[in-house]
Amino acid sequence: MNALPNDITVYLEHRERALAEVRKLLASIINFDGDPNDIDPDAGLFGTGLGLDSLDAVEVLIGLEIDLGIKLEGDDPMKLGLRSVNGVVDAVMRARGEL
Amino acid sequence: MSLASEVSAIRSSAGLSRSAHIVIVRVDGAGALDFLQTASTQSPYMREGRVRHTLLLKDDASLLADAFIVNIDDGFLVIAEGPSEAALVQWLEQLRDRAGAKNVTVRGTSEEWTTFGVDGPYAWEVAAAFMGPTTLGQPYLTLSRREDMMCLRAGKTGEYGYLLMVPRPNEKDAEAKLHEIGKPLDLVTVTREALDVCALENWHFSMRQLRKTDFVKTVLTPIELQLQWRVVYTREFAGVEALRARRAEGPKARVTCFTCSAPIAPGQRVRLAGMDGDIGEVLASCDSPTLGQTVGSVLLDIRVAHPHITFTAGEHEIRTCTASLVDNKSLRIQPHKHSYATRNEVVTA
Amino acid sequence: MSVVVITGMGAASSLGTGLEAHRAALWAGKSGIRPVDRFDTAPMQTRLGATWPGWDGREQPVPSKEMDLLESATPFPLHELAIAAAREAWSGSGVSGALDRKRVALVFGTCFGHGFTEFSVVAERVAAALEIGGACVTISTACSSSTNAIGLGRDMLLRGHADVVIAGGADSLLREAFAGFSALGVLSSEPCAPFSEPSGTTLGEGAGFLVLERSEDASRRSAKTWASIEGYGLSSDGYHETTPDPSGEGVARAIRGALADAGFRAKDVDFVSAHATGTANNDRIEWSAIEREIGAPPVSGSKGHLGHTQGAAGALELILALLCHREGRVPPTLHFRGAREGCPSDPIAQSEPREANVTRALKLSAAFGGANAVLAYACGDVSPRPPRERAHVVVSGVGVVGPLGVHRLANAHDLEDARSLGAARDVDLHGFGVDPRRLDRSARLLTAAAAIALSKHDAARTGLFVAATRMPPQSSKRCTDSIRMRGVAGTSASAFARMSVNAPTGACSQALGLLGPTSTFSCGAGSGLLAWALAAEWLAFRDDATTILAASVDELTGSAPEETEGAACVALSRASSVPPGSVAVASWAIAGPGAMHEAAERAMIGRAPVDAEIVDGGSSFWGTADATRSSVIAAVAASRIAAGKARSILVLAHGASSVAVVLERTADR
Repeated sequence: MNALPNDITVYLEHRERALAEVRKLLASIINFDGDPNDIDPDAGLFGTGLGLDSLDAVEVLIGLEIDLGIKLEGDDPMKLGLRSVNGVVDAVMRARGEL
Repeated sequence: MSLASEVSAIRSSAGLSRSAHIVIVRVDGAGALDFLQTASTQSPYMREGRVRHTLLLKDDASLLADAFIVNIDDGFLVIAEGPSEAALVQWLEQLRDRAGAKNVTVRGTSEEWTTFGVDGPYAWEVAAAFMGPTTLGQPYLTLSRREDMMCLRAGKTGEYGYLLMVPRPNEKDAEAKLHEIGKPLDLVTVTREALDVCALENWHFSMRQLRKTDFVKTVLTPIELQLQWRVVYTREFAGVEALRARRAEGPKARVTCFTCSAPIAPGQRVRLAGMDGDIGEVLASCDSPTLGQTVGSVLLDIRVAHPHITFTAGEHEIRTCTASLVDNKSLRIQPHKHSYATRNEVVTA
Repeated sequence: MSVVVITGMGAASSLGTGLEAHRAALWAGKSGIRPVDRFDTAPMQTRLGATWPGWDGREQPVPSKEMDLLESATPFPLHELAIAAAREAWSGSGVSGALDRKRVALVFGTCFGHGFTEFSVVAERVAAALEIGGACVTISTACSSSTNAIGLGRDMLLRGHADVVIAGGADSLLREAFAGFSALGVLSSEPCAPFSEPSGTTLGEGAGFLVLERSEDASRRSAKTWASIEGYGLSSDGYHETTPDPSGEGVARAIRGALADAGFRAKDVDFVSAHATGTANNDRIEWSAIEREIGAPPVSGSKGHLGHTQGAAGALELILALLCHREGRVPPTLHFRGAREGCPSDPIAQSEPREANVTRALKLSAAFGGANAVLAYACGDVSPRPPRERAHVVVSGVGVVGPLGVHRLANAHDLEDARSLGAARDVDLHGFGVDPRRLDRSARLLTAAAAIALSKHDAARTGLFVAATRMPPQSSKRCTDSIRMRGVAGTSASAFARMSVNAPTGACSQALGLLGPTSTFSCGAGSGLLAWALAAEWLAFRDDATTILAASVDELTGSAPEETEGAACVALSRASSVPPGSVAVASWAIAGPGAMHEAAERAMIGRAPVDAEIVDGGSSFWGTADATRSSVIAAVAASRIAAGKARSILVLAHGASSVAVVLERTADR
């Protein structure tokens, strides 16, 4: 494969790192048996996809704070736009100034 | 009615469709559960009425069907999109014979059942009027029954969605009743095309989003299609060996969501500025009336299959995004609290 | 046929200590709800609670790395509260001091035990304080615990396992429980208004106990009785950890079970004391079930007076009702300002008790997590139900999950040949059509064992009785970690929901669709065998279930030497005629601690000598595992019989109760 242009390599590095952290967090919340790397980046969180429910939703926010040190204002993941794995990754990267 | 109006109805009230593209096959007999374990990427539920959203794969790990499997009455229903009923029955029978599951019977049910789809933020109101008030509390991915009718709560548009299955002899009466119920709810008849637009703009997978591509030299598996959430790798099912092999090699590409201000045709190759050669290909696209732009899925080199990146696609630019962009009304509507009649009193935050 | 009567009652709650205080509060329309001052409620949804004046002035220290939950609960020892109420009931009953104390049993219901850590041992302390030595059973089915306890107490008297039973429940109000319910969003900013606005509940604490005796014993000393317990029903919603089944079918099943057990017709029910927590979900769903099954009887909820006293709720609310019935009245519902949607328009909405004659009535409890219990009681004479034909009970399946993997009826006896120590081997739940996601370790082990034991079943008529002696360690740790790191305001709602002794029962019931009679209990060591006995007893004398899974689970804690992690389950089925060549549960007996000999004697009455006697004395093949060991031993015994190695075996175990079970092979055709 050809080498990627420089201006996106930093973004991709940050993205892959945040994605790995979010996968690990979600895997622990749902007692996921498999390899966290198998969690699709665009998989939905609630209902379809990972099938989290309202109880798990709060755990996502708590986990972001405890495990990743990222505090989001508000207590409703739906309102915060966290509807997919990538949605959570976006929130993490924004909090870190990487997006 | 125009496609845009149908989509608008699905997003604001409810759309009624005929689901001829959905096939229903019964699998019965001793060992039916064990057999379906080998057909499905996820294990079917043992518990009656619980619906599993799963995939049926060919031996090369490409997709045969997008399916729901539900346990009812000592047997199972496989409710699938993708293959024709005859093709699905044949595939299941071949798999059954391979597995030596002699006592399992496979039977198409198109003579017995007809299905209607109801989708929209107030679809539950239609379904409850048709099936009874316990439908109000029916959880996602469950099947309920009343007399000889069945109601599967699933939905592939991001709004409430129900499949109503009615015995064929009652088809005309059921249709009339649904239209009657639907009058005060602005229920609109919608086409499969409208449902497909709603699915794509909401990043909900549909078999009709697949197309042949030679951007990658191999078939598209659940890994490239971001459907691994329906796969349990430790199980043994048709296609699992090829899938595990793909996983071990590491996939070369992945689909993700994109938007564009101009129409883009499926098959359009995409490139990244500062790089020679194609880096991806558009798989599916549609004009999204809800978002006012083109939305679609693009198969990209795995290194760049992430949101918030701009690519050139012919004369235009496309940008990958985090799904879903649609602000689904259904997220703010609860069947016990709201109703279509008082919809304008719903506070949208 | 005997009838079981209530000869004594005792109560301690936010309304005060003693029946007099409770009666006075009822007639004054007084509520015990007030701001909580024993811990900081600023981060919670509300400041309101219903605390016992007996603990006024005490504060709950904040748990930390150095102080665990049990220590932080020290100012609020559950047994203190329970003893206060139990003593009143005992002295009020006038039961003779000459009575054989070893025939006085205690059935104790509690949600959270003492400091979320001690369960059965609290009951043992209460029994010791009362100087009674009969069977001691602790029931933990969340808010229906004491209702279930009273029903079980009645059964124990009718089957001869005791001559007097003290039954009821107790729970204290601790910060962590308050925070957990707050995180779930169910606490009201105002005093709890059952069936009305605003929705939400108010947490409380308290203890309520009844003294139960057989009517002929009570008549012999001309004891005054409050009422008779005519029957009870149990069911599981099998729906969700914290949301009730919206169709109300779970509650309806328990109501039907109680009516059938008591021989009541729905239209003869004069009053229903509802669970009525005040939450939007509960009240509406409960009322729809009551309307469907009974019509629209007079109904009220007492949580406006008492708050939600958790494990004590059923007992305390029944006590309030009986205080009213004795004077020709029914208890009212406080704080009612118009019905919430789907709720009764007049749930006796006034401040003092209303005049009404009550002959037959129900006490309804619908627990968080879906364990429903309904008591049917009578004030005045009702024609007793004719004695029931005793049905046969047979073993229809066995599942054991442990360090050596999975065993079934055919090969469970292999377990005797090796030592099972340490962690259980993982079981692939997918193979059983169960989604293991969201199930914690205890739930997975229990569900695996149950799935192995179970064959095709009728959901509504299959029950689950689980012996579990502690909260699931993995979930408990997650919840307490989240509290520790994020403070009490950051309590994880989902971890809190899984942090109860009966959470694995609920998860298993949901996963496998087991919606029949459901319970979770402990007697310390020997609990597993107790599950066999109680399940067999239910099936033998009732017909609302065709199969009951008697199961037990022990998750590794890492804190005891020679632990064995695992779960064991037997599927017991009811049969009207003896199926040839099966393993039958032929007889059983329950007695007090250290009374294995007595239990064995009673179980062996009229029986031919057994081929073998197995005592759970800390067996060599299964390590330390209070809940499971005795049931694994029984599973091994059943397996031996099925393999033709023995014709009959007496299995014995003891802890806070002694249990004896006789298994035998039925004649081949």
